Parts: sequence; C-alpha cells; structure tokens
Amino acid sequence: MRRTVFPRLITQTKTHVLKVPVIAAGVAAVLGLFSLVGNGEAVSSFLDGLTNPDRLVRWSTAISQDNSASIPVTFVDVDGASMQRFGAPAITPRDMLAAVTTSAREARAAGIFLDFDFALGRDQDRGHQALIEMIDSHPVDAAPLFLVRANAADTAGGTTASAGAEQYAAVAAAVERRIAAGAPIRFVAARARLDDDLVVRRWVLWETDCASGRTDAAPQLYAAAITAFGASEGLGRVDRLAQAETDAVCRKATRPTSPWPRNPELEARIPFRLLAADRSFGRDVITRNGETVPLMRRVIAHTLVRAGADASAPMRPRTVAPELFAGRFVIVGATEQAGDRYVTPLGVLPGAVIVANNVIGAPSILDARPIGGFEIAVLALLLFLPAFGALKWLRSIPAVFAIGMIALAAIVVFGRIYSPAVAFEVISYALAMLGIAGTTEALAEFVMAIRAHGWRAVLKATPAAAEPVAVPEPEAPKP
Amino acid sequence: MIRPFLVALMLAFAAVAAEAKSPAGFVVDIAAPDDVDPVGTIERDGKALPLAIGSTLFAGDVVRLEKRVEAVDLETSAAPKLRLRPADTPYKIEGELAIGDGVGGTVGRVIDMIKAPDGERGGKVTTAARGDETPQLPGKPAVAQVLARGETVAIAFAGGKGPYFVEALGPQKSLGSVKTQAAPALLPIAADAPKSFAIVVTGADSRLDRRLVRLVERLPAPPAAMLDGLPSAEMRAVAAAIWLADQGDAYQLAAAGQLAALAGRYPPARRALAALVEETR
Repeated sequence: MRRTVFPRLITQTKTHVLKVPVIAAGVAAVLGLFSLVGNGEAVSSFLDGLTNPDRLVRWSTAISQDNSASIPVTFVDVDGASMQRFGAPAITPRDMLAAVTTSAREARAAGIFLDFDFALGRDQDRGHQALIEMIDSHPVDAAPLFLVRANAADTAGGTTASAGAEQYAAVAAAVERRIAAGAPIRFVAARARLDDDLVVRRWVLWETDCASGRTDAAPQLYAAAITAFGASEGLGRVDRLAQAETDAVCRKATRPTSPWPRNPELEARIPFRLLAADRSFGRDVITRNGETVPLMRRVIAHTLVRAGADASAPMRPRTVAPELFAGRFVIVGATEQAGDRYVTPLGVLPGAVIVANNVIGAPSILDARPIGGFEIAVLALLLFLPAFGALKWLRSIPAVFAIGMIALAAIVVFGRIYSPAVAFEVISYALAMLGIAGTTEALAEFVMAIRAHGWRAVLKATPAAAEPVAVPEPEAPKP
Repeated sequence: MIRPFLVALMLAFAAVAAEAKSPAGFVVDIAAPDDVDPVGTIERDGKALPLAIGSTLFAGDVVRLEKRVEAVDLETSAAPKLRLRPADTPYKIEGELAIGDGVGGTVGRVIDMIKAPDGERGGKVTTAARGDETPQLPGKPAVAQVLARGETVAIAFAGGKGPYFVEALGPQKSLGSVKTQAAPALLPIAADAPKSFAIVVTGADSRLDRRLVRLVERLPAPPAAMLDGLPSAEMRAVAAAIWLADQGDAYQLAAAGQLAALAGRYPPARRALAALVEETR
C-alpha cells in the first residue's frame, strides 16, 4: 500500500532506455501544469534564485539575522499622499520636519535622523524658520538629532543649488551654535557606494571634506554607538573617530586602532531587512526590558501633524502614542522623491529606506568580527571542498540539494559568527570556485576524450560506452 | 516512552505562550476635530489607556471611540486596513502581528519571503524578464546600451502593466523620470549627464527591468547613399533605425527609441519596432 503507482511503474519498466525520458516528460508536464495555473514564473524564479547572487542576499537576510542585536526603528514616511496633503510643494516642508522632530524628542526617542539633504535647499523652503527655531531650541539632554548634508561640498563650491546656499548656511550656523552649547546635534553623511553594475550594496561610512577640514559619519555609526554606549559617550566616540578620519584623509596621518567598531572597514555592506512594502513593518519583534516591541514601524508623515491656523503658519505636532517613538531611532525620509532612489539587490528603494536598513542592522555589520580576505578565502575553501565532493560523487539532483544544504548551513553558521554579509561573501566565493572547478574538470575530460577518440568525443554517448560489453562464456554443464 | 516527550513539548509551548505579548496591530490614522483629545480609549487588563496615533494594540484589547471622532484607521493582523467609526466600537482586537525571533521567526521570514511577490519586495533586479508580467527594455541585459548625449530619448519597452515609471538613475541621484501609461516614455537626457547610468522601467506591480547606458556625443549614422533613394523622411528614419539596430547589441535601445518616436504616425515603424522588441525577447 505504501508504494505509489509511479515508482512501481518505473521499477517495472523493463527497458532502461524508457525510464529517463518518462521521468523527464513527467517533470516537464508538472512544470507545464504550473504554467497553466499561472505559477510558471515561480518555478523559473526559484531556479533562477539558486544562481543569482542578489537573491542570496535575501536568503542570508531572512535566515541568518539575529534580531536581538538589531536596533528598533520607526520610519516616518513622507509619501506621495503626504506631499499631496501638504499642497504638493517642490521639497518636503521644513516646518513638518520640525513638528515631527518635536514629537519624537518629547517622546524620548533614542535618536532622530532627518534624511533630507539640507545642503540642497531652495529659495521657497516652506517652514525654514520653524526648522531653525526647532534646532535652536534643541535641549542638551534631548534625543540626538542628525541632519543629512550629502552635497555640502558642492554647495560650498557653488556648483549646485546656489539658490539654497543661504538656507543651508542658516541651518549649518544653527547646528554649530547648538553643538557649541553642548546639544546633541550632528550633520551626517548619506552616501551610497555603487558597484560596477550601478547596484547599491554598500554604504560609505565616512565622508571627508578636506576644504572645510571635517568628516561626516554615516547614520549607522551613530546609531550603533548610541545603542552600545549611550547618547553622550556614543556621540563622543564617533566624533573622535571622525576627527581621526579627517587627519588620515587630509593630513595623511595613520588611523589609530580603535576597539570600536570591531569592523574597521570604511564601507559597509547594507544589511537589507526593511523594504518599502507595507508588510515588512511590524512583523519582526524584539524583546526590550521584558517587553516585546516591533523592530520596524512605519508611520505616514501627514498623520503626525496638523495644519497651521492659516496658510503661512507652521504645522504643529499631533498627539502621538509614546511607544511610537520612545527608545527607538526615528528616521524621517521621503519614499517618492525622484532624486533619492537607488537600484539595490531587492529592486529600486528610496534612500531613506536604505538608511533605515543600515540603522536596523548596524550592530550586525559594525560589531561583526573583522575578517580579512585570507580568512574569507580559507572559509570559502572549507565550503568548496564538501560541495565539490557532492558534485563529484553524487548524482546531479542529490548534488544540487546537498550543495543547497551546505550553503544554507553556511548562511546560518557564518551569519551568526561573523555577519550575513560575510556569509554571503563566503558562499559567493565558494560557488565561484565550484563553477571554475566544474568547468575545468569538464574541459579536461573533454580534451582527454578528444585525444582518445578523436572527433567522436563530441557525441553524447562516448565511443567507450558504445563499445560492446564482453559477455562471459557460459560455464560448461557439469557431468 | 513518548508520553514524557509530549509533556515536555507542552511545557515548552506553555513557556513560550507565557512570554511577553506580541503586538496585534497599530493605530495608523485618526480623523477627528482638533479639540477631541484623546479620541478614544484602549481597554487593557482593566485599565483605560488613551488612544492616539501609533498606539500599539494587543490581542484582547477593546477599542472605544469618542462620538465626535470621524474615523480611526487600524492596521491589524486580521485586517491590514481596518476603518473604525464610533458606531463600530467597542471593538475587540484579535490575533498577533509578529512572527518573532528564533527558529519560528526565521521560518516565518522565509515563508514571508517566498509568499511575497517580487514586486512587493521591491522588484526584480535580474534583468531577465519572463512572460508578460515584467516590462522589458530592448537589448541584452548584460550589454550597456549606447545613447546620444543631450537628447530627449524615446524609451521603448514591452510587457508589464501600466502606469510605468521610467527613470534614469545616475551614480548618486536621479537624472530624470517620467510616468507614462504606455510605451514609449520620452525621457530627457541632460547635456551634463554622467557618462554612464542606468535606465529603469518599473511597472504598476513594481516589476522592473533596467539597462546600463553609456552616453556618446553622437550615434553612428548610416551612409548617405543608403538613404538617398528612399522617397519619404519617415522611410529614411525607419531605415536609419534598422541600420543602427544592425550595428550591434549596444544599439538596440537607441534604435527602438528612434522607431518608437515614429510609431504613432507611421505604421511601418510600429511593425519594425515590434519585430525589434520581439527579437530582443
């Protein structure tokens, strides 16, 4: 009863010649049925996923992420609907940013990032004065506030956004005033690193401008430092590292060794967790002080503010639940801003969503055990050997599954020991080695077959296999 | 033998169940007059907590709204978008939104990843389009396409569902974008655009295709003698585009664009474009 009809049919088939085509036709028919019910693409996507490195990013993200080390984030989404509600202005209203920041700092957020390039202001900045006033009133003991200036050097040089230079100067002056007073406000860099195929997989951690003698740190550095050491000590650590970076880049000084961050790379892989789609938010949870809190929350910007009494009055914050911001890093960013979108391994994502990813996964990247090229090569070799063994000794389907299992195990193990990014890198190298080994072996066999059998070696059935097998002589009947 | 194992399993489940509660949903928007604050309450463990934007909801919570409130939007595990009016309350929250951490969370995330269509997770990066679901640009994905600097280029594509968002993505910023209901999209390429960038077309369900682009000062032109004998300007333009497409894989996007610019008013161009797109598929 346990034996199904199909295997019995196969085992009972007398001629081996029929077996393989029957199985192949059966598989093709199943795949064809998948296509008929509209799932054909799922099959091809799955097969494609086995070899697509960017898909490995998804797998390594889903499998090896350790939530306990992640930083909870609330993403304030200045989406298209919000911009319509604000009257479709050319740039995000600055009074709205001031109102949201006020809400977040009153709720005791862990940190607030405003992911808008303040160096690219415009003449018609709405609420500019409200923003300056908010910065000027930022208390010394409030949540650290971070403003992006990705193109500050260009603006200073007058090459771009000259119309906004005055606004930027006013914001920069207000920030400098508060820093001098000891308030936790900093400018941060938001610079993606593009690979040769123009896909963003890495983020620049430091941006140095020697003309002004300063280095801006990436948001994830501040988030990781504040989470690990508290606001005051965390800011101080990153400030000291930024100064060392300025000395190294502009004055050719040697970078001092620092116990933090453990991973001293100047660029960091982006730990992709948070996506633009709604379903990514609220599903993952972490435990903080005995409470289960969502790792990622998203709130639409227009729901957080009220319009002013008249058109010229600045927007005001609405009452919000404290848990929306308390103890969390708040990232305010636009998701429909045409100039801030990047192609990533997961598709086109807004820059603010990538920043949110960086902040969430900052500890997994920055606190990861540093690993050099040699160590990666050794790990890849360790992974390659059993995979090559599987390819060599097993039939193709079990071999593919065995290699898949080895890769999944590596994602889990290396992802926990080092980081998902390292796991991804090791697997990529191991797969590349496997590809090279397989190709080299096939070429060598082909060359040997050519030498042994001449042009007949190009045929699928080799002459050796086609040769008649010697049949033993029947034993003579015993008398 | 199996009984102790089952008892241990039940105890383990009980321990997991006794852990801190996971959220069942959130308050995402409130429509109410300014002077109504709080707009309602969340009854939890015998206490009435104020309801506000961003409030976290747990299974067993009871939501009550003030009469002057217009509506409150919730996002819960049971309903991703749930609109409550005062008449709908008291409303009891059920379910659990979270997938948690550990093995269960990992399995949940993997299932989420498999279930979610590519577009919802941000779109495909692989440039190999399949079926008619993904809009497809002309030219081989691995070959950088050559376009001329300082021109408005007609970007032709096929498949997918509109409206389409066609964008030129430079190294650090968008160089220009256009939203269109149908191909082609007329995309201006600024004279000071960087030498290489990507053109991305995204369909309504976020499925996308992209090509790397290399800008040149001038596209190659066919020999004059080849076009001289042709009777009309349209015919010469079509011939020039076909000649360009024949110059190599790098010119498919430019050639398709030239044909697309003519396709609306000259049927032979439409046919040539269809043939070119079909060939690249």
